[in-house]
Amino acid sequence: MNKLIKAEVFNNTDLTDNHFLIELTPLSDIIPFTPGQFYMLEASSSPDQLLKRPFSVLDYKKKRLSFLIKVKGKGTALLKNLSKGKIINIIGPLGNGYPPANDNEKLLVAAGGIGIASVFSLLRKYDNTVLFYGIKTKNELLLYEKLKDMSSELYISSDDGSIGEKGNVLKILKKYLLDRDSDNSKYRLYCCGPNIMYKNLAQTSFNSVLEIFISLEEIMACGIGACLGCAVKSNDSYKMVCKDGPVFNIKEIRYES
Amino acid sequence: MNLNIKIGNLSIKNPVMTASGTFGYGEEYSEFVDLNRLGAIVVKGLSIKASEGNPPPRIWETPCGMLNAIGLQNIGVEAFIKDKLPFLREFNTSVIVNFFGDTVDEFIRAAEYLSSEEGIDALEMNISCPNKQEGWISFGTDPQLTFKVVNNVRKVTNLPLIVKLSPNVTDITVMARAAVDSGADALSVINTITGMAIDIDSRRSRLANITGGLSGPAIKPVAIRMVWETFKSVNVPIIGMGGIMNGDDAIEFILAGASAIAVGTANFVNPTSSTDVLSRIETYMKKNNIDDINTLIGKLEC
Repeated sequence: MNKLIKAEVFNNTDLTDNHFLIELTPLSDIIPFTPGQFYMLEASSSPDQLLKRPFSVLDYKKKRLSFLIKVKGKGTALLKNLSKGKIINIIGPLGNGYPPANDNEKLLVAAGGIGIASVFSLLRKYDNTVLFYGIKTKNELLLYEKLKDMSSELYISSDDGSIGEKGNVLKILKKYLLDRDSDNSKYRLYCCGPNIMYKNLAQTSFNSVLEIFISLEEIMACGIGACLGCAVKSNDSYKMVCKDGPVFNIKEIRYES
Repeated sequence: MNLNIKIGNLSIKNPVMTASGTFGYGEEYSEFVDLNRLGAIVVKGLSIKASEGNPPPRIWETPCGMLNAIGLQNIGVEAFIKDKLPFLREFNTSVIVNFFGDTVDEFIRAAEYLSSEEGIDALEMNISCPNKQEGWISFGTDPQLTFKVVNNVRKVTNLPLIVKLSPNVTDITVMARAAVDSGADALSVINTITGMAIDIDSRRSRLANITGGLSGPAIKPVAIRMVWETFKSVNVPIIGMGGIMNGDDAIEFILAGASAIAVGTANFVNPTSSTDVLSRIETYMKKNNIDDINTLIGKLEC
């Protein structure tokens, strides 16, 4: 089984103006992925746009890999326009994934914006997950039906208050924990969202959350740990997001104040 | 069909190498590429002491290329010998170690250390990386500094010595002659071209280091031109590199005067680029009834 394979676009659907869901049928056997791992996707075979782009695996169902992508720049704009039947080169699964959760810890999953793409497959892997999903505004709520179906509890927040609780995802997470402060439950938190979310999380002390794991992203060239391009500052010099991550224990990452 | 090339005393089995900085220390690509097929692997640049490299962001894609300001992050010569070299020695490919220093003395110490080890087939001196921020000029943009550093390294090593030249100069032949006069057995032409990109919203450079090295197809025309100019000015083998994406590109470099070539950025685009390039060179030779790759070197008609 090879990590470099060809895949055919099975479906490519726009969910909003700048979010889309692309399903790829691998044309050879793939290595099963762990939630949190990613693939490098070829947006164009033209030399004008050289590098593949990294995306967390959203799901694997009916022998198809799916990716939930937000349009940010050139590469994602090209991927958005890939039509059905197009065959592209992809590399994966790459990176580490979220580590296995312990039985005695209740699993909390938090997603900020497009971070939902990274944590989604955790909902499939584990029963009894509590999902906190924060978005900017109602229009950016993605995959609601599936999320409701796959999580045991779902809490939504929006920055502008257009849906769910007004505020960010940390607000609803903290509220949940505060309400359960007198329980003796121990929690583990897996999350993916913007860096500001991680920075705030790192500065919060939790009584009952034993470990927090975050998924980072950085601009990548090789995706396999050779070029040293995707560096992130950790307590122990630089780590590579593609090889040492993308999932890290929050304590490993150094945040500038 | 003979693909053997000589670089000083080193005989490499075919002209395809992987460029320093684009192939790590070999391990990462070993699951994609049969390393035994390659003529040589040139490892990520090493210094006498480990270096942590530049803060992120370190890379930025540009039209037909990319900028990098990795900052020469490396594990240091000692850790390389102990932890990475044994793996490379398992393969039937030449191991070329790229190295650098901030001072002439550091170059000397690294060269000495590497030359005392078994399993290293040649050294490639990086005198041209534009990523260091110290403010002094890079060795490779001054012929006297080039002469001095190469000459000092030459004195402490018997290994085949390749000097990798910087393109960020007015006349590369001046640097080429300085390197050869001071004892280089071969020249690598070219390293990356210094470039920049700016985020117009934040008004900041896309790279934390501000500038970085441009690589990829965008630099190929400049690289070929410099190989040709160098070929006409010195008599040592040239390893051509700069934007080689496929075998046809490689042949261009060989016709311009390169005895061997290195595949770099292409590895990021397609992890099997290096062996794909080799296969295409073999096909080209068969198709054109060329028995010996050496008969193709510098055969640009003009």
